[in-house]
Amino acid sequence: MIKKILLILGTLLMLSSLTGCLKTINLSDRAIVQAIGIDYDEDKYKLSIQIFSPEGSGGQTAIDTSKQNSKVITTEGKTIGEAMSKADLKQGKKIFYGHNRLIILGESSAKKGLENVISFFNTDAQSKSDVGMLVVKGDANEILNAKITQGILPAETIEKIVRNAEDTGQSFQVRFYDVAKNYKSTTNSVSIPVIKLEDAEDNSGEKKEEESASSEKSEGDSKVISMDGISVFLDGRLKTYIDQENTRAIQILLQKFKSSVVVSESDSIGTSSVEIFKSQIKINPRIKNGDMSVDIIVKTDGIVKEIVVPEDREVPVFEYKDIEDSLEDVIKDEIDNVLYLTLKENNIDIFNFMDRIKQKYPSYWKDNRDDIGNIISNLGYNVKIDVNIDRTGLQIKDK
Amino acid sequence: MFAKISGAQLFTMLYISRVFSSLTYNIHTGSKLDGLAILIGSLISLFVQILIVIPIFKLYDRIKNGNIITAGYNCFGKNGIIIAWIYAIYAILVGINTIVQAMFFLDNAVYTNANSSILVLMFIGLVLYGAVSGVESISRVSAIFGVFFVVAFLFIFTGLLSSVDMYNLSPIFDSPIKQIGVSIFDNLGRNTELVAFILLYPYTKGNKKKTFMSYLILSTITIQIIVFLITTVLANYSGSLVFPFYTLTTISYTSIFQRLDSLHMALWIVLAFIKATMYVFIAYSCISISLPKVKKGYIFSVIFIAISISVYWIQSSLDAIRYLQGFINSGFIVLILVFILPFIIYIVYIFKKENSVDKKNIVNTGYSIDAI
Amino acid sequence: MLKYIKSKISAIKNSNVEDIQQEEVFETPVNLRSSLKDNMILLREKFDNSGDFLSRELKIYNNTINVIGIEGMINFTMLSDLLMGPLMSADFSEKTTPEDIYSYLETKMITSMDLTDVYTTDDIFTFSMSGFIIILIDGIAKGVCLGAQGFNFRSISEPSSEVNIRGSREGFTEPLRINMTMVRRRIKSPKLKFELFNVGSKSKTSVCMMYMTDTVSKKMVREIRHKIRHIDIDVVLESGYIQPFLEGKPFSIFSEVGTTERPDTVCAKINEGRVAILVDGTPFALIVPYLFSENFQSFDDYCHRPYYTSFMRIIKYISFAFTILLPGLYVAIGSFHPELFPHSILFNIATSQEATPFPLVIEALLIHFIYEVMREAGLRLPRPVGHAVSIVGALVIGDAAVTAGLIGAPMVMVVAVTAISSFVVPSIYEPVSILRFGFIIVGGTFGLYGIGIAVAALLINICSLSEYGVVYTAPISPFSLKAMKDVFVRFSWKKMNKNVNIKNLTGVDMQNSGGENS
Repeated sequence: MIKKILLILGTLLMLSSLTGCLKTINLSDRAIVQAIGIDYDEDKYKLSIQIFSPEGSGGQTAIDTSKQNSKVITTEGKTIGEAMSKADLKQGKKIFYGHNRLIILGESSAKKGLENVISFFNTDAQSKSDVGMLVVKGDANEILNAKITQGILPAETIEKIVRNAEDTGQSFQVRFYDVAKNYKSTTNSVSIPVIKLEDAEDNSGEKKEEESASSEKSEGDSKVISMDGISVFLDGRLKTYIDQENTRAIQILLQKFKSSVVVSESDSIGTSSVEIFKSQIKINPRIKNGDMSVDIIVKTDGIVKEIVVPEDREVPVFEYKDIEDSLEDVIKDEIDNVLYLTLKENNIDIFNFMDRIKQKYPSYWKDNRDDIGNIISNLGYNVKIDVNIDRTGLQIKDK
Repeated sequence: MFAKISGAQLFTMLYISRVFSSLTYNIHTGSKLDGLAILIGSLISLFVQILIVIPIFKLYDRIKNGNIITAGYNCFGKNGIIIAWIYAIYAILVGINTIVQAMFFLDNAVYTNANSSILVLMFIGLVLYGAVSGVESISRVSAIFGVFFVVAFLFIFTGLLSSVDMYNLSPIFDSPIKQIGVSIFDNLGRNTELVAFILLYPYTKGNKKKTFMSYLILSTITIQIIVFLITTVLANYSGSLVFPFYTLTTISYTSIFQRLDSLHMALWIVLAFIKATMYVFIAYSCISISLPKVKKGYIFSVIFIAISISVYWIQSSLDAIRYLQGFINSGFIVLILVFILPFIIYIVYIFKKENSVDKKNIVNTGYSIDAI
Repeated sequence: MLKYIKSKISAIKNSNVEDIQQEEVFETPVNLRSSLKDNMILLREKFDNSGDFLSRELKIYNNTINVIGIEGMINFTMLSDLLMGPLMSADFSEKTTPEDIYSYLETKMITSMDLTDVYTTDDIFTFSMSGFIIILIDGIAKGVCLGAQGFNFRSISEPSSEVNIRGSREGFTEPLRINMTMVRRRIKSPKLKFELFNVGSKSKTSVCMMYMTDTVSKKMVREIRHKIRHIDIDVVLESGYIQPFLEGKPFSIFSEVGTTERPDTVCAKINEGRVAILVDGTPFALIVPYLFSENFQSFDDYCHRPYYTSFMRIIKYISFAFTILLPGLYVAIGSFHPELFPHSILFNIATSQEATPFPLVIEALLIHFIYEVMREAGLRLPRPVGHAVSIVGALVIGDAAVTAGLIGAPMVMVVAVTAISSFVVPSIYEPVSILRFGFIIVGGTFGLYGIGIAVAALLINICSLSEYGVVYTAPISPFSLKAMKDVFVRFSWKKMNKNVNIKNLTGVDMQNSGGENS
């Protein structure tokens, strides 16, 4: 009896492996996608997909990092899903984007709207929620086709550059779930970093800079990526760009700040650069005379990097108060500038002040929640910075 | 005759099955409730649940060596078979619901292009193998597995702590009392483990009150943590996700272990298996008490066929999945099965015993309890 | 169809009849007679004129005695000391009667400790096969047996299968009596009890059941005794022959009966309330009942420092997990869920997969099959050739297969880690190697879901074992804090509960039935 049962079970098991009820796709038959660039042109979505395709040198598993181990495919379709399905036709492997690292939105698709992008990547099971998102002032195609010869893949290099930028206060990483979360938040505003393409230094040591990637570029030259500010979306559409100089303030206000070097220059104390780290920010909404305003208090610590004191100045030793004041002014200016740009000029709240108002003054919120734009434009702000230099480095300030 | 598993093992079984049902559904499906409402509601429903089980504890204090079903036989004579079959059908339905939910997750999140019939068949076969081995085996597996689950859960939790944003927990603006009331009732409905506890009560040795209280408290804490994480980390994004906890595991970052969603998927199959097996075993025990002469193999074959056909039929239509889920998780059914029915039986039991109408009937049910 | 069923039924009926007929044909014991000649005729019939049957006739004045033995079983030097010397120095005379000689042999000859009477030819046969010499006297219808064992056996040597750094280097040998002595020397307690049985209808192998009467559960001893008495087999040549008869009902991958080759392990286990069974002719003793967590304990653990032992235990558990799951997981993730690999590993695996012809499942099955073939060949080959096997193996699998492009380099790494991990826990090698293949097939067909299902099924299989009232997965579940001091970590001897008894690890259900338990 047992033998018969086992026989039947064994047959079923063997049958199942033969008929392939679960499709086994060999790794060699999968095209591993590393970055997806999305453009929108003439009512069609144009996708540029960067695939890992190794150009090994000799040994079986050796991946040559000096060569371009990637290939770019372009497809187009009315929706992103349709374009994706056509990508299998351009080369012999099945597209697999479970390992996708980056989604790069071209300016055209950013202006068209985030709705399609979010909907496709959210619904699909293969794509993971922690994909990095970036915006480019031009066509995403150019970035992906650029010859970036550092690391195994260009997409990997781009991701690392953005991460380094986050560590030094020049940008921050935005992941897909951040975008999807903020897209449905009360203020419905999303901020995504912007990158641009630059020519690498040639052998003579001169550096050629280009403002935008869509202008002439020399074929065959290797390129580098650099950060180019933040793009701000409202209601899913691209509203405006914010310059690279204001990125640090945005990072502080978004509480993603890690560390950054701030330079303060003044006649009295010369030039000094201090690395600021460990920032704690408190944002408190407050109603005064019926007007809503926000108190922003930032506390940071500082490490002195260098101090250059002018020749003819008497300066006390271990007295950094004046440097601290000067730094505080610098940072306060930056933050004020950003708040003005976002709140007053563009009427967007990318720092989620609305959630704090909702928590602290629910009745006020309930009365005014139909007209968020009004609240934002009338929002006052008071910024107070406190820098505390506690590490002086190995040299003390001395005449 | 009955006592086979220890209180701690029963606790792990109930805990695992309760947590499983909260890991798979979206907290916002059904009625759109705010996160804070669900948190407060589940806390209050803890006390409601304690109140509901008072009649059943009193009933079991009187019966020395029996089940609620044998008590039903005592009170109502031959008509007690209806009670047995009500519980059995409910247990089978919960088992079917679990299997359907498990397959739904697999089909949508993992194997999107696969023919799911063989997966379903394997799962049902495994559940029946577990149920045939008896309640001791299931309880031991769940005890071993419970430890892994708690460790994994703590892992995921610590990885998510850095992404928690307390400002997402906004106060409730629209009709807070109504939302909290709905949430209490909802939570009660999702707690099908109360029925499982009633029917597994006589199998347990040890202090059952302690087991029950620790189960309630720990499961409430776990549910609170899960809802808290979903609300604070994902905010309104979770409303658009079918499996928010699965997305949470992709976001969770510890420095070395990045792909925690694989951990989630692997654990999760075993969780589904333990829950489904427990309910199938409960169904089998109810049926075998009501039909003591029928052999074990026959009962299990019938259960197997019933489950397979139902799962195939329900899985093919999304409407059917939704209806089944709504039916199982409605608070009314739990209220009837856990509170009203035992209450009636308790009253009739006291009445009969006080009147000493049929002393013979009360002492010896005449039905073999040792069918297992 | 009907004819087939009918023929089957008649075949069953016929076989029953034959069995009954066979049972009726048993030998009635043949008693010895007074005349020596008659006895010798009976004995020669019994021994069927076997080539090693020795018989020596002696005359003491007017009485004839005959000394019988089996060549090779007797120690001739002992024979002269035991028998010939005393007989020579006895003061017999012409008036000596056979009864005098008999009483002299029985009462006055103190050179032999091992002396019994025999009355039937069956007994003579059994005793002579065990190395006794039998003395038959003309005129007396019984014989005298003297123990004079002198057969050759392997001397006590280091156990080959359980290697320890610190424990004793003595292992069991083949003769049962010597093994019994080794245990007796280590536990000098009057509570240690030996029970002897003869198992095997043709081989009549001696089997010894030993236990400590103050710690063991009498119900368990009764059950085991019952099982041993009812073993239905014709020859028992190794303890593995009787192992299946001691196991429980549900078919399980893991065995509840453990084996060991060391007397100190046996002593430790008996002290915890278990029963050890020694079989004549094999150095491997059986230990009943055996828990799953004991596969990860070795005798060395109790001699080393506790922190080192705890570290080793954790390594053993992790290696067990590796050796079962690693190839299956690798195949499942590589075929179905490549998103679970970290980036850099994925690129390496994908590049290696580009060049190889087989899918991952076939590669894994192939290379593990070759590994098992090599391992078996290494076991069976004569020693001088063994070195060549290891070199060939390393070359074939390691280098050549990869450079020839048959197998990817990551797969070789996986099989190497798997193989090494399997040697850390040698006592469960058999289930582990089969399970490994099972997981590879299931993982390659169904992915992580299949592995999850297989793990659940394996867990159920392990957890449903509970024989002799002891749950196989104790003390992990049902949980017993006292006994947990020796499972994942080992506490020092001062803190460990000195009276851990297997009776306390019974399942909750078993405590109801059987009044003698804890």
